Amino acid sequence: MTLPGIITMILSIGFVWILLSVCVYRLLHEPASSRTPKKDRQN
Amino acid sequence: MAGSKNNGVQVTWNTQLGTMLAVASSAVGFGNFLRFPGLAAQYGGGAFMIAYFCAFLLLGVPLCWVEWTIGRRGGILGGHSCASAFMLISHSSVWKYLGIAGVLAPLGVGMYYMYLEGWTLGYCWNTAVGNLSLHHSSQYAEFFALFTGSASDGAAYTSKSSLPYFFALAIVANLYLLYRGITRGIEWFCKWSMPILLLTALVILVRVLTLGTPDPAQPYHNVDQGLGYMWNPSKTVLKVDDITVEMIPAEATEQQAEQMTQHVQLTNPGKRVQREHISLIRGLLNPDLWITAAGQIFFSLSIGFGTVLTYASYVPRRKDIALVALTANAANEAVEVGIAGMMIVPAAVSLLGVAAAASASTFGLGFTVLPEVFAAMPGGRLFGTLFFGLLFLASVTSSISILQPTMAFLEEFWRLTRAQSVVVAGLLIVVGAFAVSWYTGDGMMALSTLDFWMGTMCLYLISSLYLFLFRWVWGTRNGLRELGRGARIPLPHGLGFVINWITPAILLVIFSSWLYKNIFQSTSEHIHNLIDGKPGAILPMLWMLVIYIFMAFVTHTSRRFHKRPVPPQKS
Repeated sequence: MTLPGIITMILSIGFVWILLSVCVYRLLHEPASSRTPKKDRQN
Repeated sequence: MAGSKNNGVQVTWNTQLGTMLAVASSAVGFGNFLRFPGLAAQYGGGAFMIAYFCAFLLLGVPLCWVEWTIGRRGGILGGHSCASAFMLISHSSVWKYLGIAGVLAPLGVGMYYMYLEGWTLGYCWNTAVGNLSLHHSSQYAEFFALFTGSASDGAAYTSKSSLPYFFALAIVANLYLLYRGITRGIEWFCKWSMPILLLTALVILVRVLTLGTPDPAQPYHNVDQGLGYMWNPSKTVLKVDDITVEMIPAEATEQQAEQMTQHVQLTNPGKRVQREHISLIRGLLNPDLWITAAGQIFFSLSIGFGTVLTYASYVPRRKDIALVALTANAANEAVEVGIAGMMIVPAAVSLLGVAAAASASTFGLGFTVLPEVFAAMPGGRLFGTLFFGLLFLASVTSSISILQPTMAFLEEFWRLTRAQSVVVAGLLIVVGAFAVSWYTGDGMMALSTLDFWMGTMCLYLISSLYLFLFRWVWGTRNGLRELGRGARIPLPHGLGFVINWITPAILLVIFSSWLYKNIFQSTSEHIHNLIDGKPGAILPMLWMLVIYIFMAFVTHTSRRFHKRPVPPQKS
């Protein structure tokens, strides 16, 4: 395996796992409808 | 939790996590564990992986958001299938005929999906009873050929193969679960089976990465070579009559490379052996590679299947869809690239060699490689049974999701009950699935035909329709406002620009270059098979045409959406 190959592998796999971790964290911790317009929330 | 109609009462998703898990669960299946590794091996990794990630970021994520948004808007207006959502959003009845493609494609994919479920169930059983405790790679290949009947058309229906029983069982399980509704099934599967499946896959991954050099007589068939084959952006390969048979390791000296060339020449007497360097740029200039990478993203993320659209149509108006969609995509990619690809491609190269990995059928690679990995690990029979069993369950949840758009279509346009819809959908799918299981000669002709035209080209077409509707008919500004409603993440600033210009440009360039190559340079084998009138290619496609005409007739005669819908609110 070459160095560009190792870099491509680490970047690709690292990217998807970091993206997944951030998404799951926000899904579990971000308060629901925090970005819903005020008008919609009142409804 | 699921979005379905029970006794006339509309049920919507209860939790955001539930929606995300259900979508991720429906997306994780054969696309991740079989199709992706098969394609990565066929296209030699490297450039394919780069095209794949470009497609994920610039096509997959924006188009997935587009589909979720169209789905939720369609649901608000009262449409739960692609045909009705398209018509209600566009206010044009032409769009309902275009939207039928979004019902047809998943049905076509479902035909071979059920056939593959028969394979998986059969492999689960044969691993459990010890029929797959073999000794040599060639024996695994023979077992696969005998079991699937790949030698000739109709070979699976001889007394030597038990596949018809497993295939029938898979069809019955699907139709029964479809009839009963799978609300609780999906929930249970997400909570328990999916984590066990992923844990089993991780254990197998660890075993694959510690395989080393399984056969000392073949020193270049090892895990490092396998990882290099998948990830090295450029590589030097040995070709025999233009077919890749070996990869020269990057660290090999000129003398070692010459020795490999001579060895290949000795094992292929009288044939032309040539050494070829494939650079990253050269790999990326292949239009087939791009359309396949994009097709895999659509297949894997279920974009264009109509499944996501139908699920999204049951999400309440003020609930988040942006973060849920992104999380489901990320979960799918993590499983596909981080586990399945890393598991099967290096195992294929280290156990079978580059030639076998590159020439294996798209879905067949996992079935010829994994049993050999299980045989080489402690407790392999248990892990093998568990893996194939859980993969079967994962694929059943996927195939039932795949059939949801057809069910929604029949219930909406023809006002059929669930039982009636199951009968009609079952009839349509069983005839096609039987054709797939019969025409297994010529490299699984019917399966590869449907996979290319329905699982790649049709998804490409439907995704383009989504984009056209979102961008030019509904308006990007309106669409992004709908996507942002209830969103738990800020939408990227350039998203509108990407949806307006970048994604359509990429779709257009890839499709135009593919057309140019296949019309003016070398015609694709899939086009050749249709022109030559091979029954394995023609008959499944004719059946798809019959289904389209039937659906168009249902749409045309339905009175359900004849009344002009209320235009969307401007706010």
